[in-house]
Amino acid sequence: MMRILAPAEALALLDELSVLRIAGFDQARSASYAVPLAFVRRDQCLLIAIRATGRLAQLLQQQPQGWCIEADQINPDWTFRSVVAQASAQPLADPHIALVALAERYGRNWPQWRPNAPIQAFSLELAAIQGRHKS
Amino acid sequence: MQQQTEQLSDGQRLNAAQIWAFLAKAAVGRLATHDHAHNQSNLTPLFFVCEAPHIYFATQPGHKLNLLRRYPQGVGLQADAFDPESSTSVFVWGRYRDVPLGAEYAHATRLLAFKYGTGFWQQILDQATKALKAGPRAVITTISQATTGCIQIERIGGRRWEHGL
Repeated sequence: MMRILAPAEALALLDELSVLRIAGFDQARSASYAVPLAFVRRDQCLLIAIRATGRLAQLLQQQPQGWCIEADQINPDWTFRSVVAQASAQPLADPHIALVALAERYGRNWPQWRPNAPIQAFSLELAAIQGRHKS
Repeated sequence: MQQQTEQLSDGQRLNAAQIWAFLAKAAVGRLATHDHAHNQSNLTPLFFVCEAPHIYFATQPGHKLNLLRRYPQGVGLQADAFDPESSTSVFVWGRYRDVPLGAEYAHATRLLAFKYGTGFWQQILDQATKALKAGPRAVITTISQATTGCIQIERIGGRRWEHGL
């Protein structure tokens, strides 16, 4: 049975999931682009911190609109809970707030996610949030 | 080859054999498509089977399939695995096409059924049950619109990070 989650439920589900994938379109390569990310939610925004010199940071700076985030918990029996949302990126002048929040959320696992310097933090504003629960 | 995970520190690039082996075992991937008319990307979890250089999956009509058919070029599939010792992320790019009924369709279905076993057949059963409740016409529609898709892979990339090193 498939149940559509209310937006508030979908946002709450994001707090349970530790990894999201973000996808955008890389114009230079004429191809989609997707990577996994650690994140922390602040209302309808997600804070992320990434390598400032990496491909994702470049793309988010160049084309802040039209991104998609997806997070899920998928079970071997094909039942799942998932959240999908549109996202627009806003670079943060100071990555410190995001880094502190991420370190707090991930605790001792944060070192495995922490990007190399230089770091750029972004706020991803979510829209059209959709959650689904298949049981 | 593209950097795969921006948050993980310097990782080891996977070679082609490692990437194909990882995809063969990955239980689920995330399909990345892009709606060029609205400049909006989309990500969808996907049960798939990889037989290099093809990714096969079964799907029903909907937004995902519409996008794949309208914009078949530059489609991506991302898959990853995270555990206490290491993290792996791979991304493959290619061109989408419907698999017509015939030998390739039957082959792809066999591969999916072999990989997912009861999960795959349960999915078929759920769709059939749902259609049966709506009447004979719905059964015919469901059967006729069920699609097996293929992404013909053109580029691959992947990295692995060992933790605690």
